[in-house]
Amino acid sequence: MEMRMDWDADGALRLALQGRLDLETVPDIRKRVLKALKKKPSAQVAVDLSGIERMDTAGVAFLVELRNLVGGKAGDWRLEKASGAVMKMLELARLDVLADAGADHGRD
Amino acid sequence: MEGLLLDVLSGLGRWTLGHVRGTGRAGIFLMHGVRGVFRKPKKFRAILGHVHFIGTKSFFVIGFTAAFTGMVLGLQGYYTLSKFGSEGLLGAAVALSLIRELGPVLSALMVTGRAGSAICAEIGIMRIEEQIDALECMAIDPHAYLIAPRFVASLVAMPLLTAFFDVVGIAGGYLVGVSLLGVNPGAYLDGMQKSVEWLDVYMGLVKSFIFAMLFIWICTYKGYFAGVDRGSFGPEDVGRATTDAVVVSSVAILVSDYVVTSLLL
Amino acid sequence: MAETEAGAIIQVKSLNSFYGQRRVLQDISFEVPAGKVTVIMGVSGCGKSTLLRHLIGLKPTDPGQIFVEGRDLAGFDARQMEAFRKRIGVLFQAGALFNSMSVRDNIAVPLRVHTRLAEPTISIMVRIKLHQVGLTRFGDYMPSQLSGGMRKRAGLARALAMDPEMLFVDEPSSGLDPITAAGLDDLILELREAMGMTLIVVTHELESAFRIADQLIVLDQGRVLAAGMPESIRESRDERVVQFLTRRADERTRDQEGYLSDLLTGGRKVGVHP
Ligand SMILES: Nc1ncnc2c1ncn2[C@@H]1O[C@H](COP(=O)(O)OP(=O)(O)OP(=O)(O)O)[C@@H](O)[C@H]1O
Ligand SMILES: [Mg+2]
Repeated sequence: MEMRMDWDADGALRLALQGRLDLETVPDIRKRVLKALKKKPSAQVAVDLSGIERMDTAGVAFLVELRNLVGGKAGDWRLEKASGAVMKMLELARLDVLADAGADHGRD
Repeated sequence: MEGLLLDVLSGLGRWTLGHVRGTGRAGIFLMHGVRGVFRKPKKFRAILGHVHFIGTKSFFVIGFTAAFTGMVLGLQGYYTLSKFGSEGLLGAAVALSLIRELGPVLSALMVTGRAGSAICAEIGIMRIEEQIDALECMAIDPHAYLIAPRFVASLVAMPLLTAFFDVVGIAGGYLVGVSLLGVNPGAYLDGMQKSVEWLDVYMGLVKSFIFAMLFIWICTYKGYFAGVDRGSFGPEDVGRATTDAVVVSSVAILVSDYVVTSLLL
Repeated sequence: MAETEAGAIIQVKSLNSFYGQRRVLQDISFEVPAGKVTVIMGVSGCGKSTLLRHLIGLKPTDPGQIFVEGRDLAGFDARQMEAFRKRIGVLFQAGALFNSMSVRDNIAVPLRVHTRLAEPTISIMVRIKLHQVGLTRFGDYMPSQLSGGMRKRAGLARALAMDPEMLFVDEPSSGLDPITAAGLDDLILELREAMGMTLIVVTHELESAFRIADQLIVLDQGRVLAAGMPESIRESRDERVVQFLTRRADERTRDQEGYLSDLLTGGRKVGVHP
């Protein structure tokens, strides 16, 4: 599992995840993100999901939790570039409305 | 006639085999439970919960039993000792009987009746409702998850309850002996202090550990295998297991009490 | 031995099962294709739950009768069994919820034991599962405060907690109204779609069976009466299959003499005799 964290000029956190986001990888990823946010608090987060090969409910739950970690308003939390498989998992969790699908819908 | 003889013999054989098998299974069960203490999952919170159930919730019963046991010891002791004109030894007599014998035994019997039966029924219900099967299907070892925490909790709670029993019992003896019958308070306490030795306390402690292990082993075992031998899993199997558990535990406590006493003397 | 056919994750080869002397399953053979829904049907008491117990390794099986990915289930040691069981989820016929803890804690049990996930993450996962089975507001309830159908769904949520590869469910929709039952059917199909889950579903409901099944197995008195794609079952000419599908009750006791003698002698235990 790879993860990149960048901060925009206006302090928004950009998270790019790669590989598996599941039961086994989520605990470490969560720890790292928490630590980074503690060092450099950010009120906005955007997650780039395009690199995710496999995601399970733990992954979905982590993405949801992120929203809480940055303050918790709808506009401050964005899921971007969800692939088909990832979208299906979000659908299964009834959260598909929250994510932007596919690379062409991306906003960067 | 021959048929009858054969019937009796085969019945006897089946009975023996059944008991041998049962004993072997109980031994393996104990081993798995003890091994489970050192295995996943973490069980600190579960142990706390069971200590609360076995220990804290038994306080009232134990206190009550202890008070009256101590009081009766005070009465009887006074009656006997006064025949020899040695009422002053009352404190020693009460304390020694409680610490060496009655404290551990009665605490264990009361805990068996109060908590042991409930534990057996709880685990028995988990058996008949397939909850234990469900645990196995989650790759969770029921011995480590269900049984081991109860083993540890019992070993923690029983000595404490026994100590509590001893203290309350001695106070009960004091109440009757000193306050009602007029034994000299100094003599009561002083005699106690002089006569009770480390070996007595040690014996009581060893007993309470052994009883704790025995009762929790038997009660969890009976619940765990409720109905398994008959291949039927109904409420009546839990009832039967619970009755068995209490009877067998009580007998085991009394028998082992004799054995331990004779070994430690 | 036992080379896996392409796609079969579980193979059952002439499985026999006994309770004591009585044989309840006889010569059962079929395969469970990976990533598909296999539905097991049959009248009450025909041995469906017993078959499930064999598949999940709860009832001991003789060697050479059940294979998981080509390996004999009977030969699994403790570690292999644990590995297998981490990959499966099971819903028992009666739910088998732990009645000493809330629904929420029930679902969290496998997560707390097997993963290092933080408690906030777990609690979100639990809510997602509850939502999937339509029990959003019932996390804090104790199992004894739920209805039978709700207990079933809570059990399903628990079976799904670890996102298992294989899911075994024993009559998920018994005791449910048609609408909730249809919701569960949808969920089953979604799980197959989204996660490629392999599902083995026991059910009585014909309609639901035909909706979700990729493969149908009809049991009758401990034997496989028919097995195959739903269409082929529907077109079957077999008398017993037709009877089962058209829900005709067993014919009035044809054997009047035998019935009479049963009435008089108290009868004997029924079943497939060895
Ligand atoms: N513990 C047991 N001991 C003895 N016989 C059993 C036991 N469990 C089940 N049986 C017998 O095995 C047969 C099959 O039972 P099983 O529970 O597998 O049926 P089923 O198909 O699941 O029925 P249902 O649809 O009613 O749940 C029944 O005839 C039953 O009498
Ligand atoms: Mg059944």
